Amino acid sequence: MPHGYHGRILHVDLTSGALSIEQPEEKFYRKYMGGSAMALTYLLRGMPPGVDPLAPENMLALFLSVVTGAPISGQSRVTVAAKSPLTGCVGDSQAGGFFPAEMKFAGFDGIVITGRAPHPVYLWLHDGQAELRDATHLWGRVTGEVQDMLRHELGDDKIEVLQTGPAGEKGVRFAALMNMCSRANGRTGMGAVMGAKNLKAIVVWGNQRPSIADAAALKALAQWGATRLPQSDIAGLSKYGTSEVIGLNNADGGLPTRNYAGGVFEYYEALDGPTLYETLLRGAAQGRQERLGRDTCYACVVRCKRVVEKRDGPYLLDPTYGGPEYESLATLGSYCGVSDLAAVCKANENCNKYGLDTISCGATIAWAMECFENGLLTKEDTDGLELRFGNAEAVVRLTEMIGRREGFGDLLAEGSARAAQRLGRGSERFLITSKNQEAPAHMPQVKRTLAIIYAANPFGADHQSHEHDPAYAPYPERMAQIGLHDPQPPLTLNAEMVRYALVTQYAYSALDSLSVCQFVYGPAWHLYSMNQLTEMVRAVTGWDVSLYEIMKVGERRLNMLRAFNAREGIGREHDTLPERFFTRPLQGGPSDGYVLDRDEWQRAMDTYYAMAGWDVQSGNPTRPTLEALGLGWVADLLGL
Amino acid sequence: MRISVHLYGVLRDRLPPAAKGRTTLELPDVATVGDLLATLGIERRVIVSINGRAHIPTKHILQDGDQVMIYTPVGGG
Repeated sequence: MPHGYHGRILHVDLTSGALSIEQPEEKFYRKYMGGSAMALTYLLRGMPPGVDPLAPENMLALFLSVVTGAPISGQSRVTVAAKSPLTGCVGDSQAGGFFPAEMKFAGFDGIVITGRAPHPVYLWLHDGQAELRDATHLWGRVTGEVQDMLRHELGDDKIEVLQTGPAGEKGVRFAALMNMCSRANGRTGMGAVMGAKNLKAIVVWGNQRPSIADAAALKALAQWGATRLPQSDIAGLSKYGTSEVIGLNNADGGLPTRNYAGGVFEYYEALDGPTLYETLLRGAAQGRQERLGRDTCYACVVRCKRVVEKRDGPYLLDPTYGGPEYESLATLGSYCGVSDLAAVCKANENCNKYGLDTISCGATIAWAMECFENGLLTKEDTDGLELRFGNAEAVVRLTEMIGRREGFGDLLAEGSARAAQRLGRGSERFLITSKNQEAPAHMPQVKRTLAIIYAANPFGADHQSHEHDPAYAPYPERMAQIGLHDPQPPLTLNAEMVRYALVTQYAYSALDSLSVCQFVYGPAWHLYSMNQLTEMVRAVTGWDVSLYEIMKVGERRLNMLRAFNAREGIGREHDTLPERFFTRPLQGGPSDGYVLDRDEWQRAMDTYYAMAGWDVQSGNPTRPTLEALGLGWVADLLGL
Repeated sequence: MRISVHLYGVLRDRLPPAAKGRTTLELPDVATVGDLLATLGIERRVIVSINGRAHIPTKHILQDGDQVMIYTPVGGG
């Protein structure tokens, strides 16, 4: 019997209703380990290029990993992958919560879904059993209602639900998948793919906990983390959640403000972690927010999740929908020039209720605001909304309108890139997108390796795909574990920083394959180092695994992502950045005047592809590179 | 000399909540960023920004009237 996992992957054909179990060999688990890497093997093998992302032929793969559900912090995460309706590229997104561990306890390591059900259904997994059930009565309902109804229907308030919301049902291109009504597989529109399949939810419960190979070693590591946490560099994350990053990025001049016009928001303190902690966190009025306002994922001591509540005045807040992360505060807040914290929390709640990616949602609204400010949109276009930067009420209203594809919200539901194409009028110049995906709230002008990763990342601009620049210098011991020894001055984009970007991208790619939290494990400020991650995988699985092997899983996954895109005809020419990153210097604060140098960036990109072993002209993986990773079968698929 | 200090995130818990992370400190006429961090009892890895310039090294000598911001390195989130 394997340790840490079941060796069981569920295949679901929604068109016929057929369910089957695959039991891959151990070496498959060892080579890919889980998460995104494992999901991609199915997408690449099972789907031809050119498929419409919202057609039945698109595959939706959900994967845990060999360590999901083990009793230690930061292991309860699930990857969802499919072809993205937002980008047309590979789609890939991770979420935490209790769902991932519970899905493992239900007896499955992964689910591969094809086809389209003739009517709405949900998938019910429990103790190794799987069945499809009618979900007609759940269709059109918001996430909180659906979770309540399923718990009532199945007679158990401990079941976990991962679902697509009304936004996903209506094909909003940045629809998220929600679990616990507050944890999102947010990016790349995976909710729209599930909605297009008439699959409303995946519901899990079980007692099938895989054995742990060395429970004593795992317990020692878990206890080390719990003891270390208060002195660790994620102590702030523990207390304030990611909302702490508002103040930190603002201090650095890196808090996107008014659609990336600047990196300093004059009202940042209204949105900052300490303000949230003292005002809207559940229990704050009674000083009980430590107990009531902080939430966690399965078995995690960090407890970085927020829960907000507001029972009077405008913008009532329902704790069912958790609370905002940094990205949500920034994109629905400073990105839109909004400083009303309650309104931003309400907009976040609406995103969780309808199932929307807060990043793309906020950034798309910010794009529309800049269009309005410049006269490209008028109140006639916006259903009467005075869509100026800072209009908090309009942001809240638009989150609902997008979630329902109502009025002007129907245009924004396409994402900003498609909306700009449809609108015309020169509105493309205000886009902050790469591969049609809106950029998150970390600024490449301030942290320069983001300029490589936002452009080159196969599923569009992403801030969780490598380590950011400021972490290189302060963590020499941990960086040395992955072969990085030579930090460079800030704002540098030379060969060493390209190497830093690529090597840490392999590391983060490995984390997304092991389906572990990128705050708890990682190469810098994280609670556990990459060597400790290796110890954890050894303790859970009993494999004599090395960090080299884990890093290779990350490299393998990155190459499979690129290969998926290559097959779709998407390569280097799609690895672009918003034009204004090169042409419009940031305004105000410590980053005043910062702008990217196009020649320097092009050189860095050349170096990046060459270092990755990819063709510098096309940006695509080569046969030797794929074969060096044991991915000859991918080279065959690409016809190399 | 007197310098103003602005602490961010969890660092501001070193000051009373009403201060909201802001304080003014008297330091000897010759003092470095490292001395300031020691005075504040900050041992963890931080980024120091002075008068709008970030990433100031610990051996940098402070000047009277400097406005100092201290914050932790930021990854994703």
